Amino acid sequence: MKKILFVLSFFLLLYTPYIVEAEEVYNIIDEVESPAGYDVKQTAQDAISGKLSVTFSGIIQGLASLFIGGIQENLPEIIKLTVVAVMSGLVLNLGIDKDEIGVIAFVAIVSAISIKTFSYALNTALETIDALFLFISALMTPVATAASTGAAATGAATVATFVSMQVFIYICKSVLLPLVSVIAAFSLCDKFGRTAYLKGINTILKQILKWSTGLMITVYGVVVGMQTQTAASFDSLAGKSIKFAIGSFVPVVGGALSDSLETVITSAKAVTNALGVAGILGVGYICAVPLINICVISLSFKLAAAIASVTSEKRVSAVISEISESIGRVALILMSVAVMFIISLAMLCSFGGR
Amino acid sequence: MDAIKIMVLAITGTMLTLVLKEQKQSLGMPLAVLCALSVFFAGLPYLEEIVTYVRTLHKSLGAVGSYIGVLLKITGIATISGMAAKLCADAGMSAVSAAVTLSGKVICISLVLPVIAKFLNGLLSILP
Repeated sequence: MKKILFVLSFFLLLYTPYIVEAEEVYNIIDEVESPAGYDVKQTAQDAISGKLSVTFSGIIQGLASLFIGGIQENLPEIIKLTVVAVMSGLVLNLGIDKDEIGVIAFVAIVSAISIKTFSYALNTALETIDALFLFISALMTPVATAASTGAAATGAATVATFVSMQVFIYICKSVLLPLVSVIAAFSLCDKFGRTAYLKGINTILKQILKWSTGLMITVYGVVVGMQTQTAASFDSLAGKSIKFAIGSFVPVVGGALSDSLETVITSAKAVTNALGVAGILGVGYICAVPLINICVISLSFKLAAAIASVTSEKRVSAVISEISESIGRVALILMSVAVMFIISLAMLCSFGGR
Repeated sequence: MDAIKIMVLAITGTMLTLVLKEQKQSLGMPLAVLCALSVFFAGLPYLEEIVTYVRTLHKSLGAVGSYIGVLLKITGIATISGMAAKLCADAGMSAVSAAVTLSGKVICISLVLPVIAKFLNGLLSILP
């Protein structure tokens, strides 16, 4: 009775955000399950039947093609930036004295181009984090149901993990990503003058960002690890106790019943694992393209800065380099969200119902 | 070879100016101005080639290309006002020299304001 009440209340808790954002969820699922895309149900079925063919070389090939595609897509923007930066060195050298206003103008132009790309990377990261969350929300119900079969504590651990995910995402979107924007803005403003007045503040903010990200990942890992480990131990003990009780106290059919209970739990475990594999692949599918795109943009900017530093004004190439680092920070935060989701799914599925 | 001709013209002009200043001070300054302008116009065709090339790049840069024209104007104004200020300073008119420098800078700032405005709009869009 307690277990039924628990499962019902869990469904209610999980479906509330699902109902409110139902349209978003359907759009995400449709997008992910498009004919050329990813099918959670089919992947889970393939995983259970052993037909899932995900090889390391296949993944590397896919990533490489995404990487090259990203470079080709971003090439015109990078060429534009490099040309403007190189021109800054040529044009500014035409002047008699050091033309400070000309330098400021070039720094402003390069900053305006770079900000547009940074803004695109930031919005891509935010949209991907939202898409990941909606995907995990939709997946949580079947995973929790399967994990809860014969394992009430794992069901409770799923809820706690889900709540931790929401907190993690909220901190990423409301604190970490805005902090990256502020650091980028300060870095750009600093390049207008000859003296870097905001360097000290920027260094402090970068340090805060680094520590916050590390601390958050550690705390989240500890919370999820503790939840799933204690739940697994409890469920293992509870499962064995129930099996012994049924076998000993139920007359005539006790033995058969306790064996069938083990079969049900093992089957539920297989389903949970299959869903977990499908979920992990789904997370990879959703965030692979945006993440690689953002990484490619960051690398391209780094390359542009390296080429421009040969002939351009120092401050102009420094602007491009700073934006490259800021885009790299955005990629890092997106990667940490994806990794934490994967770890959560893996831990829930591996420890659930044991 | 053209570079050598320009250098020879500049050095010859300078020597004549120095000699003329000793003989007749009032003619020294005009000769110096004439010499400076001659050297400047002698090198102008090469500058025209650079500007033409930059203008061809402007077409491939899209929206950004419109700002390249502004940057060339700023560089031109800064160069001309710098040269004029130095000529005035050579003539002993330091107040006029300072005024020429100031007006050149003011014109450059007014031209660069739309670029700064575009940058500030972009910055405000990324700030939380």
